[in-house]
Amino acid sequence: MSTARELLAALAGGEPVSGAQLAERLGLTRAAIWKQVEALRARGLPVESRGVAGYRLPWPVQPLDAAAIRAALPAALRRAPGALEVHWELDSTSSELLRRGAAAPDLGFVLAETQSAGRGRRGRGWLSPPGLNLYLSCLKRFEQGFAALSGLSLAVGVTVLRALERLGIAGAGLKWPNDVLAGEGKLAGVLVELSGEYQGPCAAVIGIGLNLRLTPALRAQAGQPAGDLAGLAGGAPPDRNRAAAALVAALVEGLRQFEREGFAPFRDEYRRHDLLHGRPLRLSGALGEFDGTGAGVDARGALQVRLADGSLRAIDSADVTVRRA
Amino acid sequence: MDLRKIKKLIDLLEESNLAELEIKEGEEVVRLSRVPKGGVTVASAPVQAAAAPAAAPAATPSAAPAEAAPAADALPAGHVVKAPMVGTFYASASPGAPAFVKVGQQVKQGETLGIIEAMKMFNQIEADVAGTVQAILVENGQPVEFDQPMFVIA
Repeated sequence: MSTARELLAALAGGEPVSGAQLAERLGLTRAAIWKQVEALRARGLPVESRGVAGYRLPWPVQPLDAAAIRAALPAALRRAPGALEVHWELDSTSSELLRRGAAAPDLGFVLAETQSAGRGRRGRGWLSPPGLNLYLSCLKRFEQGFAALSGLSLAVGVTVLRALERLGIAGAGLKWPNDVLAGEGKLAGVLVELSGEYQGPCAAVIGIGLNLRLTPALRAQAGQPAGDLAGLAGGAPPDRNRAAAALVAALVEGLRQFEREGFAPFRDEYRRHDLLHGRPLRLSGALGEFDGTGAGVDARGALQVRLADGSLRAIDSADVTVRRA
Repeated sequence: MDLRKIKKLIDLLEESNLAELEIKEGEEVVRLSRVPKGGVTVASAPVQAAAAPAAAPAATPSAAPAEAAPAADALPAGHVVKAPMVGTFYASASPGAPAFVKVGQQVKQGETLGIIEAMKMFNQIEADVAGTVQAILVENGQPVEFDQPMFVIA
C-alpha cells in the first residue's frame, strides 16, 4: 500500500489524528507525515491542520475498495465484471485500459483514487483529486464494427443517469452528446475511445469522471461551471464504494442492452433528460458556426438542430453552447 | 517541393476522379486542380498566402461523395486509408500539438495517423500497412464522410 493511500485511510473517519499517531501508524517521522499531508493537499484534498489535535478531513471519506464495490453490486451482477481493479494512482484509467488492449477482459473495470493525467476531450484535463470523486473506465468489446456503435456515447450518458437513479439522486440532465449536468454545472464527463477493426471485432474504452464532492478550490480550477453529487443530494454525497457499484452495475446492464438493441431503447430516456431541447443553441466546429434550436437526437444519436428556415440539420460533431437571451 | 514529387502528385490526381488535391509540406503547399478536359493545373505558394482559401478545395471530397467514392478505388499510388466513420478529423492529439504524420514520413503498421471524433467518441486512425505517407487528403478540423479517402501510404 502506498504511503499516501495509508494516510488517506488513517484520516478517513473525519476525526482529528495527531501527527504522532500518524507517524506511528505509518512508520514515518512526523516531518515525513507533514510532507505526505502537503502532497495530498497539492492534489486537491483539503486536509486541515488542527494544532496539537493534528490533521483531519472536513468530512469522512470512504477509500475505494474493490471488495466493497463488488459486495455492493446486485447479486446477479457480482460476477459480471471481467475485472474490477482499484488503483491508488494511474495516469488515467482509460489510458491504462488502452495500453492493455487485447489483454484486457470484456467488461473489465479500472478505478483510481487519483489520476496524474486525467483526460477530457481533445487534450483537456480532468481534475482528479484523491478521496473525493470517481474515475472509472470500462472496456467493452463489440463484434459488429464501428457502424453499430453510433449512439454509444449517448447511451453511456443515459447509463450514468440510471446509476444516479439507483442512488436515489434525481435532478441531473444531459447536454449533447453526453455531459451530465446539474443545473449549469458539469457533474460527470464521459469519453469513449474506439479501437480495433472498423467492420469486425472492436473495443470501446469508456471513461467516466463523476464529481461526488468538490471543494471551492477545485471549482475554481475546473475552468468551467462544475457540479457535484453532494450539492444535488443536499449535503452529503453517497458512499463512494456504493456510488462506484451503482456505476458499474448500470454500465454492465446498459452496455449489454446496447450490444443487443443498439441506441433505440436509450433514445426515449435521452429525450426525457435532454437539456438542449427547445433551447437556442450556437454550434461551432468543423461545420462552421451557426445558430439553431435544439430538437432532440436522431436514431443514430446525432443532435438535431432546427435552423432559422425551419429545416432540421443533424450534427455528428460540434461544440454546442446555449445562447443567452 | 521536389519536381519528381509534384509529377507523382499529378499522376495521382490524373488517375483519380478527384477534382482538386492539396498537399502541405513544411512551408510549402501545392494545390492541384483539374480543368474540365481532364488535364491538371498546378499552383504552388507559401503556406501563408494559401491559408485563407485552403478550406474550400479541401472540402471537395465530402461535398461530392459521388465523385470521391470511386476515386478511392482509382487511387493507384499506394494503399488508401479511408474514414471508418462520419465525424471530425483531427491531425494531432490536442490543439497546438504537432500532427501525428506529415507527407513523406515513414510509418509503421499500427502507427496513429489521425483521430476522428463523432459524438465525443474518438477513434484513432492507424496505418494498416507500413510505408511512406504519400498524401494526406484531409485537413485538421475538417468534417469527413464514411469511407472518404484520408491517407495514401506506399
